[in-house]
Amino acid sequence: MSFLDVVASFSPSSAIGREQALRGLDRAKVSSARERRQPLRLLWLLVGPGVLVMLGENDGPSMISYATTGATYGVGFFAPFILVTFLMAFVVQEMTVRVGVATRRGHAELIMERFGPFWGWFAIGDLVFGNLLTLVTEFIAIEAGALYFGVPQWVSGVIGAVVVVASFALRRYATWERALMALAIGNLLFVPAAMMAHPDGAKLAAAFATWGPLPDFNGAFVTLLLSTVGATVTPWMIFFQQSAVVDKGLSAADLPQSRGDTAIGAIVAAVAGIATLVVAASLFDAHVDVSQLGGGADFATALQPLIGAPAASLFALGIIEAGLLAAMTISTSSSYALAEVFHAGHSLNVDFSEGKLFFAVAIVSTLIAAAIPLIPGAPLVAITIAVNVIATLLMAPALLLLLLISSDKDVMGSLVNTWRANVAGGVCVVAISGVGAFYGLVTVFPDILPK
Amino acid sequence: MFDETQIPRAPVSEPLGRMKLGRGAKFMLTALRVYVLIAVPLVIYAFVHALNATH
Repeated sequence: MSFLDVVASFSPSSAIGREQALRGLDRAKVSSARERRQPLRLLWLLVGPGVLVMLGENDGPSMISYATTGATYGVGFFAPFILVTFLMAFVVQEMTVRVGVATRRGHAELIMERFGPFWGWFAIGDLVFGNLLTLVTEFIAIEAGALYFGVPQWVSGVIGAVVVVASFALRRYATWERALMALAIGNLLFVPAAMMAHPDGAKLAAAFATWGPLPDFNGAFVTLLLSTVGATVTPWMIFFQQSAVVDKGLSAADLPQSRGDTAIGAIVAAVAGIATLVVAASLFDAHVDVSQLGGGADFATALQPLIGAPAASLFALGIIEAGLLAAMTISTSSSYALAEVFHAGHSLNVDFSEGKLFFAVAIVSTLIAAAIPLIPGAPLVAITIAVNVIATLLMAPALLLLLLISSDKDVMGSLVNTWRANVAGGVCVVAISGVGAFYGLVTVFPDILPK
Repeated sequence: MFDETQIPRAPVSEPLGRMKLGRGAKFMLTALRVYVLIAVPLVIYAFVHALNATH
């Protein structure tokens, strides 16, 4: 009996369950592409977690952060700086992929087993609470983007929640992943919007060549610098990609393609981020006061007379897409983590009956997050600030634990960090943790920065 | 016969056990605990402060 026959003959009561059968089917396709030496098909089958995590991190608040940076300082230092932050994100996420492949465990489960309950529950609490608040900000972005098109907040909030919840009804990891990747293409809407803004190509080239013009060193510059780093590397990314790698069933043989997946995601996300900066630089060039601009609708409305209605519409659509994709990936990262530590079904391949906790976490957190912005007088500013502080101040433990695990030969075997990976990872961990801790402090005590 | 990559990768049930930590790692984790014990109240402070500022 061939492997595919085994898969085809599976029933819920058979020894091989639905989860393994579906994963096995996907793996059979991978093996077939590898045997037939079809590198492009192999890459196509293995991309997913890296693209989703990088474009998921280009979420609503991140795109608003890039837009604020562009509108405040124009095209200059921040254009190449965004590239560097995604390079750091790649280094961190590459370690995550290796840990997932080597241990076949999600990050939450691994921390609980290797470092004990203090770090296990801390990581879970930090992740789930931070993710819930971040989800709220994603729905704020979805509603703000839709508001530009005149869609009432409650309508876009309900539609957003329905779309996110409906994605869990796809009942298969591979289908869910492809559906989200199709949605993720929308992150590139910022690119045509940037081209329609007719940016000065020479100025953009000079920015990459010289990292200038460099803004004055003051509180606003440091805050935007730190928030740009915070917009690129956050704890949920580690948890999501490691769990997705395990759910997809990736093995050591898939590492080259998985690295390619993460690199493609980083490059596309960096391009979309820089495009957002370029679009918003039109506001800087027109000397528009950006201090009153908050959400996606504000930016799109302010941009419309400068770049035209079609480009402003693309910008608003991009904000909606960014919020929607992030809501799907972030809610799934909470699901994976909680279900892993409770040893419940934790796969998008399981049935609802086998994965009650897994699906309940994602659905309930999505519904709560969608409802909060609709409550009159809800403390949305406090939530947004708390998201920034949690994501950045508590990034250090997540990164340091990742570095310790990926350097642990007992669980990593031949995939353990080399000295080069340790140096690269160590530099990124120290830089991101330091920046994160400083940003957290600056958010809590803004007076410590020069005016 | 199937190669290793074709085998469905079932969730692993056997716990890995606690990590054997060297002196440096132990020191780092202790420092990290101190950091967390300082950071968590800061997060709460930031939230409460922002909450009060908006009301």
